[in-house]
Amino acid sequence: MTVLVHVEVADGHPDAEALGVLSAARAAGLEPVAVVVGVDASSSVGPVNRYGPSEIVVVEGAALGGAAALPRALALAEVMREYPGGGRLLAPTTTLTTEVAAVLSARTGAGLAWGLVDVRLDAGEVVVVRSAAGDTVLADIGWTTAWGIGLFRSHAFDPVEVDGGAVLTRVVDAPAGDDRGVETVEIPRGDDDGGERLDQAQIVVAGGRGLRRRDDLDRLRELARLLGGVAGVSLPLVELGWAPRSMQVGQTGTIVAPLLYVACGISGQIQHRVGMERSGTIVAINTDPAAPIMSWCDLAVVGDAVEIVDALIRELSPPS
Amino acid sequence: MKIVVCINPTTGAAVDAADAAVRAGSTPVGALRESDTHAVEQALQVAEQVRVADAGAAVEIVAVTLAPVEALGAVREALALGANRAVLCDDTTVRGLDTAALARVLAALLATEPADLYLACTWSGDIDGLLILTAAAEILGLPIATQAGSFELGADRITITRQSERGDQRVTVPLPCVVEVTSTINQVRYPTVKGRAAAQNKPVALVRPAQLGFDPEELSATTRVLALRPPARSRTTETVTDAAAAPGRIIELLRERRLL
Repeated sequence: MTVLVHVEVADGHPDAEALGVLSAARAAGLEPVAVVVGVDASSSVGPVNRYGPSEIVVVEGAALGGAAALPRALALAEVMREYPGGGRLLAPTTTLTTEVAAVLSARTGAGLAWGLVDVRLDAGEVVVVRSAAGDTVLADIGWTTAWGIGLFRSHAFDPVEVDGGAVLTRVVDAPAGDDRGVETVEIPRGDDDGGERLDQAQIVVAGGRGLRRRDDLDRLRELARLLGGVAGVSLPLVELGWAPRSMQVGQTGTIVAPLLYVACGISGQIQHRVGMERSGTIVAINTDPAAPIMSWCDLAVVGDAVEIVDALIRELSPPS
Repeated sequence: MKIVVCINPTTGAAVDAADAAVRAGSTPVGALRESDTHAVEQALQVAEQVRVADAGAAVEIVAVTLAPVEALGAVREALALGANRAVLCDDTTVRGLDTAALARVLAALLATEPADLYLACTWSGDIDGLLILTAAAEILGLPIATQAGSFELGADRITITRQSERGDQRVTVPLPCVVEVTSTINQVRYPTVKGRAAAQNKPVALVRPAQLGFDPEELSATTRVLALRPPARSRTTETVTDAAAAPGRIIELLRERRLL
């Protein structure tokens, strides 16, 4: 069964999360058509082809130069029109793909399923799995509409390379539609604030509301440095203005899956859990033994996070 | 200038409801959510800026929500903060709808209050608010800027900055438009005693989805829950309550697992 997979290309590279969705669709016995979208999408045909698409459709053109959702949605709607019977469009969850999905839903009547962690083929239908209610429930979801769009959580799947022959490739010019006067300009990145490294890090030391002062974050950075990792935060610290959003671990921040995750003063609310539960080893330090995270980590330490972090720093610091 | 503040644009359907319940935590339905206070605050700041530029300018702030009637308390809080009037659309007949279907109801509701600016602040831990607002803006044919971390009102346009996976972006949208702000965008004020008293006399219109120009019976959820099951549990938790012994045990565990 054919499904479309939205693969966004930025800076000449296909989104690795989208390649993961492609791999998962292939593994589920579906025939995924990779719809590769971006101003320079053609350059990514080779890399995308390694992940087993049954077909590649390239959508490119000057209209995709910015980071706006509307021109992408218009272009994807053109591709969808080639399947008059409807179908399923799968994508990873980013700000851009979320907005594209919303616009497509409004324009085509497509149903929206989100927060997804798995996909399978069941009696000829695509069934997706939603992890809900703080990951206490898994729900199998189907669509009632001709078109259905599914947004998968980051790190739901790993990209898997497969041997494959050449696939038919079509190139679609993104239509220069009405952009409603919206102008999107990318602001060049300033100093590296750790956002990208957080996603790649094998060790993450993260702080939450249990920290007393903004300066406590420096203690976490020090421990992260000693362990060879990076520091992160939970949503409340971003809302307090203590840390930039690029440091946020969570469903709407960065979703991480390091070998080690040390949660300091983090209660483990749903949206944070989604962002780190696939970590290898989880150590949680919290004064409240009843905090949610204390029941689903590997090592639950009841105590003041900053005091214990300080003790770890003393233990791990090279003798002076 | 007319500003519509859209309060709590989230889903209530099926598994979405379970998420919504977890997320609401201890916030009662009759209280204005923390995120909503930032949308109201942004509206107040825009109104003040318009009045400073032109003392005679007509400015109206309307709080709009699709919610159970118990949310009247939340609406009154928005009025106490300075909104001029409110519209509460009773969601009883549409509560079972999902994200995509609710966006259609919200769009129909917003269409009853033509405005220069629609403001909302969605709970930033999930994406349903972003989906609903973006879809509603598209149905209305309005430009939208989302996840605004800063907000600048120009003569006929609004410029925001936002953080995304692709780096920071500056987005300019012409009025009329929809702008979703984040909860870091402003410091909220609190209602005064005078404001609370005034809120009691401000008009609140109660409407039903059927009055929005469509038959709620004909609108159905776009997704269906086929089965529910508990997730497999994968970790066994070891608990350390002796804070003095904890650092040693952590280091021991990291060595056991070759993480150190």
